[in-house]
Amino acid sequence: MKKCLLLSLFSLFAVYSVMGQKYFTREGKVSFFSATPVENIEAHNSKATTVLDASNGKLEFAVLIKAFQFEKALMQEHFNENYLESDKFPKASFKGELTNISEINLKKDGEYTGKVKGKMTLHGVSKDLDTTAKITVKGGKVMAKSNFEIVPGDYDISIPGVVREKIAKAIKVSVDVNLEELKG
Amino acid sequence: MNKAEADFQMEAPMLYSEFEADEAAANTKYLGKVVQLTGTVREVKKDEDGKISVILDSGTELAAIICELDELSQHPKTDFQAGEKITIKGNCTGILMDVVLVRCVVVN
Repeated sequence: MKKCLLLSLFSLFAVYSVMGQKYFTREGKVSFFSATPVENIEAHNSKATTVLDASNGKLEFAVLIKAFQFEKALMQEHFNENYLESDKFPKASFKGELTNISEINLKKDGEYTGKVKGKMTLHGVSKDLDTTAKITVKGGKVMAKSNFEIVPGDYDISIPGVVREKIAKAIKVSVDVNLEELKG
Repeated sequence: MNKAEADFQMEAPMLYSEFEADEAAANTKYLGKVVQLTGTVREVKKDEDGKISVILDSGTELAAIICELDELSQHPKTDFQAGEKITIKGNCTGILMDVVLVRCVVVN
């Protein structure tokens, strides 16, 4: 009986400590920029869900395509209907890890360079993504910023000839998340 | 968005339960549509860029309905209190953990 109680107490602690190592936000920011001589296009989304497990560096990230907001409504319509087909593929996600999590102390204020590796899924296509993130830890909060480029063709996104010169070959993506420790 | 006619009107937790029960079906039904929700405010959040999100109860503790207010509209009131009942409409973008509506305006 005692053993049983001890065991359940122990597992309770185990659960608690695992919970305490997760960092989370549902308000991550993702923006993308396409710059060409003809036109600059940018879109912003501030509702990306991100979870980071500090115990093993596992990182998950998800964003709703329709929640990207453009300056021009027509661009947003084209983006959703013609390019990203967001009725069919409503989400984009990233599943991977911070491969150098052992070098990062999320409990201690400081700045770190995180190595991010994993798979990004966009428009129903998954591709490897390898990038870095600038991680700033301050007062229990973990701020992470990352910039990388994606090529629409890699994700089977076809852009018709007439607008090709208005859309950059490589789209710049910037991610900015403020994670908070998930309370157990 | 003020002038947009709502495609659907319902209680906020109803929308969440439809997404939870069958995400694909709810996507087909609601994505890109203007949905008008009546619900209870859980909290109001403002981010560093000044974007305001009203978070409504979904009927479960772990998830919510996030309504991001339209930046291009005038909002007569944004300081809603927890527990306040409001009616709000916006563009339904789908579910991650929470159902997300963007370009929202409060309906009087």
